[in-house]
Amino acid sequence: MQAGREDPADEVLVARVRGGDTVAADRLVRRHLPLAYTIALAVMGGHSDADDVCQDAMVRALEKIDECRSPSRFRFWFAQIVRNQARNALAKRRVRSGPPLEEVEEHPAPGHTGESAERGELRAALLAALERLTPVQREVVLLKDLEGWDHRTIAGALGVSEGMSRQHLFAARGTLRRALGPEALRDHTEGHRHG
Amino acid sequence: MDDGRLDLTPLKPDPERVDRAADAVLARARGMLAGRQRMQASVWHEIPGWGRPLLATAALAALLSIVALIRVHPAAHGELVATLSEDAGVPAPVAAWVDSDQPPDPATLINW
Repeated sequence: MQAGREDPADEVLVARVRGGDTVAADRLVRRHLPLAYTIALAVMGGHSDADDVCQDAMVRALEKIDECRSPSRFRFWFAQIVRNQARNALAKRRVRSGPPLEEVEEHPAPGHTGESAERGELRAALLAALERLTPVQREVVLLKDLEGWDHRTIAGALGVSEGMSRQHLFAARGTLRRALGPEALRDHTEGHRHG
Repeated sequence: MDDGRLDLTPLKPDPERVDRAADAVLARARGMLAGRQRMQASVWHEIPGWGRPLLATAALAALLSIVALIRVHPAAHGELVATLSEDAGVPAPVAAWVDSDQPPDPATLINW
């Protein structure tokens, strides 16, 4: 992870946060919150409750930052906190027997109302397709295709082999392609052939 | 190279949503961060605070050492060595050799 003076590395920010530096905390939070949303989505299968989960996980990470033994690997440590937080939230929701995710996602949260209808449709289609994946397949495909992690990193974060990570990705992409159909696929794969 | 990559960017939370969440997190963490600042500041203020008593203790120790040296020094050197030797359980002849600063002759060693 390279970072210049303008963009301090995680270990620098973590050290400053340990001293109570609010500016460093701000940068650390804004840098890693998108990852929190990705992991919450992977574990929970939808955006419902994601805000609470991500915020709770980040606050917890800041509170427990002394326990981050490898500050240069903050994102992996934080990802684990998000994962645990999301699983707990999911378990609580199952206990409460709330509405299934598909129903929740049919009614976008207030924060989504300003988005374009097209993007909203795409997201709804993707969310529905993601529901067909297992949690680990969701996490692999989201970390790979949304966060750009490599298989070695994904394998390390999820505690699986690189081979298994590749298998999960292959299966996940296949399922998503079948679920989205050729029309949606054209939308979703254009511009990424250079990848 | 990864030709099978899917464009999942519509799943990314919009930046405004992330900003709102970040603001909420920082608002909740403000008290904790302020506490950390206070703790660090108190540590740095504590160190100079310890300087004065530390210096006073060192000065007292130096004074006591000087007084002890002055009281011990005038005593007869040989007497002191003998006393120390006796305390350490060293035999008197050996202590006498040490005190005389002369090596013992072989006959003395054989007879002893």
